Amino acid sequence: MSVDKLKQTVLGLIAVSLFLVSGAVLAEFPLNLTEGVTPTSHKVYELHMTILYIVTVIGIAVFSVMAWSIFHHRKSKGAVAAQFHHSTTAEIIWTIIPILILVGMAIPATKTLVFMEKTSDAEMTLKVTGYQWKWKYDYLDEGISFFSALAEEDNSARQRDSGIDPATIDNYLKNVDNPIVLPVDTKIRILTTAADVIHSWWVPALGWKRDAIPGFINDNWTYIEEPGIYRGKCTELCGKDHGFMPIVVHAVSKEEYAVWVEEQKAIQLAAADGANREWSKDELLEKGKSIYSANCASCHQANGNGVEGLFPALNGSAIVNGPAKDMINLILNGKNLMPAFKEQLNDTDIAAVITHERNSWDNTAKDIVQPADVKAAR
Amino acid sequence: MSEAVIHDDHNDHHDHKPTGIGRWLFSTNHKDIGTMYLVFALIMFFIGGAMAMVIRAELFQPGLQFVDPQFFNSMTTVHALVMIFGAVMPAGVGLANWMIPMMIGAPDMAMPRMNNMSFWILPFAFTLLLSTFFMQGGAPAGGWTMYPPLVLQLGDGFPFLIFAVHFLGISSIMGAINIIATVFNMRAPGMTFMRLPLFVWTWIITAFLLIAAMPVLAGAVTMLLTDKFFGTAFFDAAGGGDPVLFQHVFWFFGHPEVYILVLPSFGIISQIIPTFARKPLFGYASMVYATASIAFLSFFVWAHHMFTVGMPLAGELFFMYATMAIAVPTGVKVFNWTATMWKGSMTFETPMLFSIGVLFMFTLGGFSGLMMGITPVDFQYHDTYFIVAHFHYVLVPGIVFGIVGGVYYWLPKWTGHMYDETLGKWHFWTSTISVNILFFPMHFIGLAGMPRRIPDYSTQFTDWNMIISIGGFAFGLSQLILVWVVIKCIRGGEKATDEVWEGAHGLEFTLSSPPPFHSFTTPPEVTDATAHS
Amino acid sequence: MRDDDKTSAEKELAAKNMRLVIVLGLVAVGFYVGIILTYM
Repeated sequence: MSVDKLKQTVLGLIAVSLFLVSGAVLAEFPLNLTEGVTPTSHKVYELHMTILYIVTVIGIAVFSVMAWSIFHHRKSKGAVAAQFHHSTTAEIIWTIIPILILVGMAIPATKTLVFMEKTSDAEMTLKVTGYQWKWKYDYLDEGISFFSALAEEDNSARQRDSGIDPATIDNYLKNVDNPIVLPVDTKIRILTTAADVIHSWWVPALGWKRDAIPGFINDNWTYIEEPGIYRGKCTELCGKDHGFMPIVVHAVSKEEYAVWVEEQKAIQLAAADGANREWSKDELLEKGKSIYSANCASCHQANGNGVEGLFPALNGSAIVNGPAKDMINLILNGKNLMPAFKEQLNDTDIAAVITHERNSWDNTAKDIVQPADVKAAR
Repeated sequence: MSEAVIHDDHNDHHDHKPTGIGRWLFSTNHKDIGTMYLVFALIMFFIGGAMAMVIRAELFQPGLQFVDPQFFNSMTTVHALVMIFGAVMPAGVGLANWMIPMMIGAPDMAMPRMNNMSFWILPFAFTLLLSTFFMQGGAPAGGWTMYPPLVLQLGDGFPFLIFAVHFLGISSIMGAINIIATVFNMRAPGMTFMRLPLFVWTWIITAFLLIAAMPVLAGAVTMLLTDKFFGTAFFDAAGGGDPVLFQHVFWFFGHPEVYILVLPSFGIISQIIPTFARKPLFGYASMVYATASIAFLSFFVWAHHMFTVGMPLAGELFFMYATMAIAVPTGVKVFNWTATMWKGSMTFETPMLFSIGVLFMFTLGGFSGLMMGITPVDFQYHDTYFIVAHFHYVLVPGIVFGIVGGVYYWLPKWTGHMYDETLGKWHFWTSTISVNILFFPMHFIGLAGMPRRIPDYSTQFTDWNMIISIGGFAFGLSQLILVWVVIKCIRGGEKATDEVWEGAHGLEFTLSSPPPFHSFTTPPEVTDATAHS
Repeated sequence: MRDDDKTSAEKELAAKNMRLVIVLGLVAVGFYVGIILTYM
C-alpha cells in the first residue's frame, strides 16, 4: 500500500467515524444512571457501577462456557456424549464462589445504606406532599408553602392530539409552574407524605426516591453540592395523570436562597391580603382561567365537557348554574373522585375559578363570587 | 410409597372418547383438560399481547396519539393480569395436566372432576375481568398490584376485579391440590420421589407455593373489598389502618408468585436440555434441593419489591441479604444446566433452541435482579423501566420461552405428528431477535430516569422508545408463527415415533404418539435404569 | 364409572386422594381466614 493510499484510507475512516458520531449526537441514546450532585448519589452511582462490572464479568464467564459448549459439543461435529452426571467438588465450588462474591457486594451496600439512613443534624426541613396530580411543598422553618404542577406549556402539548410537537418544548414534561428552591451545601431533611393516594418523590440527581404515603411521613435527607436545575418525576402510579406531575429543584447559593425566601414571604402576605378585598369580575375571570387549567381541566377538560362516564361536564351543569353556595361547598369538600380543594386552593383561587366556570361556555349563571363568600363557607 | 391401580378387567368401557362439545365441557380427561388450558392460555397470550401493542403504539413517540392516560393505565394493568393469570399460569397448569400423569405412570389426574372445574372457572373469571372495560369508570387502572388507596378509586369495575381475582385464586388452588394428590398417590411402582422427572418436581414445589400464596392474595383483596363497601379500614390511615400493610401482604403472595411462574419453566428446560445433549441431567439431586430452597427463600424476600416505602434500616438490610441469598441456588441451577450441555452431543431442534434462549436470557434477567436486590441502588432503579426490563426478561425469554420450548418438545407426542422444524426455527430466531430489541434498551431508559406506567415521556427517551416499539411489534407478529406451526402439526405431518427424539427418556416417551386416551391403564415398572432422563 | 364398578383398591385410592385434597383445601382456607383475622 502506497503512502498516499494509506493517507486516503485514514482520512476516509475519520470521515466515516465523524459521520457516525454526529448521527449519534442527533439521535439521543441515554444509557446510564446519573452520577448526581449529592454525596449519596455519588456513593449510589459507584455501587451501581461496581455491581454492574461484577455481573458483567460473571456474565461473560458463564456465557463463554455455554457458548464454547454449544460450538464444540455438538453432534454435527462428531461429539460423543460423556455420561457423567454429578461432581460434588464442582457443586461445592459453584456454591461457595457465588457466596463469596455476594458477601463482597453486601459490605459496600450495607455501608451506603447506613449512610443514607442518617437523617439527623439537618439544617432545614422541606415537607413534600403528593396530591393527584401535583406536589405541595412546605418549608417548615420559613413558613413558605406552595403547590407545584406541570407547566402550562407542557400541559397543553401533552393533551391528546394537541397538535403541539413535544420536541419544541425544552425538558418536555419536566417543567413546573413553581419550582422548589433549595440552598447548596446544606443538609436538608425532606419529609414525604401524601394527601390522597400513594405517590413517590424522585429527583435522580439526589440519588434516591421515596414513597409519599397518605397518613405516614417518611424521613430522608439530601446535601446538594452544586448549584443547578435538577428535574424528577412521580414514580408511583397515582392515577390518570401520574405521568404528568414532575419535580423541579433549583439549587442555588445560600445567599440567593435567602433572597428567594424573602420574596416568597412577601408573595404569601400579598395573597393573604387579596382575600380581604373586593375583586372585579375581570380580575376574577383572568385568575380563574389559569386556576381552572391547572386544577380542573385534567378531568373536566378545557372545553368543560368532562369525560363521558368518568368526569361530569361543567358546561351546562345543574350545579354550576345553580346556587353559588352549593358549588363553593362542593369544591371545598370534594365528592367521590373529586378531591377536596380546601387545603389546596385559597379563598381567592376558589372564588376566581367558580366565577370563571359560571361565566364560561354555555353556562347561564353569569354572576361573580367574592373571596369573602368562600371564606364564609369554610 | 404409593402405587397406581390395576384395572384391566374393565379397561374397555372407558376408553371411548365422548364426542362433540360435551367432550370438552364435561371433560374429566387430563389430556383434554390440558389441551383446553393450553388453548385458553394461547388466546389470553394474544389478548394480553394486543394490549401490549396498544401500549407500545402509544409510546412510539412522545405526546398522546391514540389513547387517554386513564385507558393507558387500564392497558398496563389488565395486560399484566391477563398475562400472569391468564396466559403463563394456565399454560403451566396445562402442561402439568398433559404431562404429569404420563411422566409418573398414572392413568389420569387424581381428581378428574375437580380438574374440570378448575379449568372452567377461568373463562368465567376473565369474563368478569374483561367486562369491566364496558363499565362506568372503566377497567382497573391502578396497576396489577392493586395498591390502595388508588385501587379504591375504581368505578363499577371494582367488585368485578376483586371477584375475578378470587376465582383465579380458587382455580389455581384446586389445580395445585390436584397435582399434589396425583403425584403423591398415583405414581407407578418404583417411581420414587428421587426418580421423578424434574418437571414433576418443579410442579410439586410450585403447587405447594400456590397453596401457601394464593390464599394470602385472596385475603388481601377481600380486605380491599370490605374497605370499599363495608366500612372497614384495613388500609386506610384515616381509620387507623395502613396502606403499606396491603403492599406487605400483596408481596408476601407476589414474590412466591414469581417462582410459581418460573419453576415450571425451569422444569421444562431440565427435561429438554438432557434430551438434546444426549446426556443425563447434571446434579439431579442438587437441582431438586436448589428448587426447594428457592421456593423456601421466596417467602422471606417480599419487601424487596417495596424498598422505597420507608422501612427501618434493619428491615432493609434483612430483605437485601435474603434477596441476595436467592442468587446462590439460582446460580446452582444455571451451572447445572451448563454442565449438562458440557461434553454432550448436542443437536439444536426448536425445543433446544428455546431452552438455550432461556438459559442465556433468564440469566441476564437474574443479573439485573441481583442489582436491584441491593437496597441503596434500588432506590434509584425502583419503578423505572429498569424494573420493567428485568421482569420482562425473566418472564418472556425466561418463562414464555420455556413454555413454548415445552410445547415444541411434546407437540409430536400429543398430536402424533412432527411439527415443521423450519417454521419452528423461524419462530425461535424472530422471537429471540425481536425480544432483545424490545426489552434490552429498557435497561438504558430506566437507568436514565424514565419511570414506568407513564403514557407519555420526555423527549430524551424518544429514540429508544421507537426502537423498543418496533421490537415489540416484531415480537407480537413472530408469535403468529407459533399458531401456524401448531395448527399445521395438528392437521398432519411426518409421523412421530413413540420416542419422538433420539435422546428422549422418561415414561411419556414409552407411550404411543399420540398417547391413548387414558395414559397408563397398566402401571409401568420403574427402575433406576428407566428413571429420569 | 359407577361406584360399584370399582375394585377395592380403586376405592381405597379414591379415599386416599379425597383425604389429601380435603387436608390441603383446609390448609388453603386456613391461610385465607388466618391472614384476615391477623389484621382484624
